[in-house]
Amino acid sequence: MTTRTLHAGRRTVALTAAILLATACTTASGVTGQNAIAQARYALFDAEAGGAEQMAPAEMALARERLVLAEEAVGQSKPLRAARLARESTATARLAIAQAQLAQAMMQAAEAVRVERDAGALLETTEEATGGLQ
Amino acid sequence: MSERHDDSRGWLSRSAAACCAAICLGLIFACASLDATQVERARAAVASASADGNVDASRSLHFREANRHLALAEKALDAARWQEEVDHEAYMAATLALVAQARAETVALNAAASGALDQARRETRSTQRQVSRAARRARALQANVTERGMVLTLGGVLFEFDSAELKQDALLSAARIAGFLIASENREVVVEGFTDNVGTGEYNLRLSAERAEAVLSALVDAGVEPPRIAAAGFGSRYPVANNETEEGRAINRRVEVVILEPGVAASMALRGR
Repeated sequence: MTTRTLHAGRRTVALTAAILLATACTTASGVTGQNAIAQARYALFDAEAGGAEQMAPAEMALARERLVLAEEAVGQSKPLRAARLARESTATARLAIAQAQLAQAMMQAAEAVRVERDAGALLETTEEATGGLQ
Repeated sequence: MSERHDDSRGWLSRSAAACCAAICLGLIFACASLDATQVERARAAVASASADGNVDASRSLHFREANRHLALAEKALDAARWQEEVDHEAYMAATLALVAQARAETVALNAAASGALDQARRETRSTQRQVSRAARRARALQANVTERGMVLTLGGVLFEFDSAELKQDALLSAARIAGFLIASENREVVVEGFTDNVGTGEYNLRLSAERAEAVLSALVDAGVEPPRIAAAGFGSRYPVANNETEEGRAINRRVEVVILEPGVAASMALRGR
């Protein structure tokens, strides 16, 4: 075996390793993108179940839009872009859930304040009406 | 020939240098023109969450994540990397800061609602206690709710026989009624005296009027303003039990105190008016 043959062999090994590494990285990015999309879908499902559709429609629309763009990016073999968009979709869906919970909490707080006011007024009226019968 | 060759090489190297310079300038220009709008929006959102008293900066996972993404966005902007990367990190920072703020506000509102409901429960229990106590007192005063108002009957046993002087128990009842009237400023009261059918009509009329006046005086002594009370005696009229039996006659010897509905004048509410 000559030195030239040896060098050619090393080059082949190095090239193969580089190709394998590149393929692995691309595949890993693709998997990451797919995982992020799966998470985004789950977050959207969670938000729908939490009533975000009614309480935070703008955020839900934005989350869906980002998910669609992420899926398109996967189709265009742009795994990094897909992963970013999917993560943005997930964060936006979480914002939708948080906004929906906030809206519900606001309604419950308003109702609680009304109940407390009514109870206070009833107590006052009762005290007035039964003052001499205590 | 050699000179021409050298000229050609010199031209080529000048062209290559020019190209490199153009590319570098282009890159510098591209990097310098990275849009920081999203980063500024993220900075504002994180600052707002940080200033929000409801957000616990050390415990909120979303707030910490927002800060991490903001740092990445700043780093990408400073290093003049890709616009998409800068915008992505900034978007994540702004969105997560909003999530942190919304969640913290939700927790605070839930706590406030819980406090208000606890207070309402306490007040409702207090109301129930007051109503129960009042009902017990009303029963003790033999109170009946009628169309005219709440009628409290002070039985004949509260007077000495053939006398218009109130016994100690009657004074206690009058004090309770007075307490009610003092607390209910918009209510007036009618005091009506009745006897059994023993004796002459004229005598019974006078005795019943004196008994009604005695109760009126007791109420005034207990603090009720005189204009709020009207008193009259009706003798043996309006019996509520059979005068043929001793038990029935005892029931008919009575003074009724009618606590009128709010706004009804006592002077207009006496029987026969």
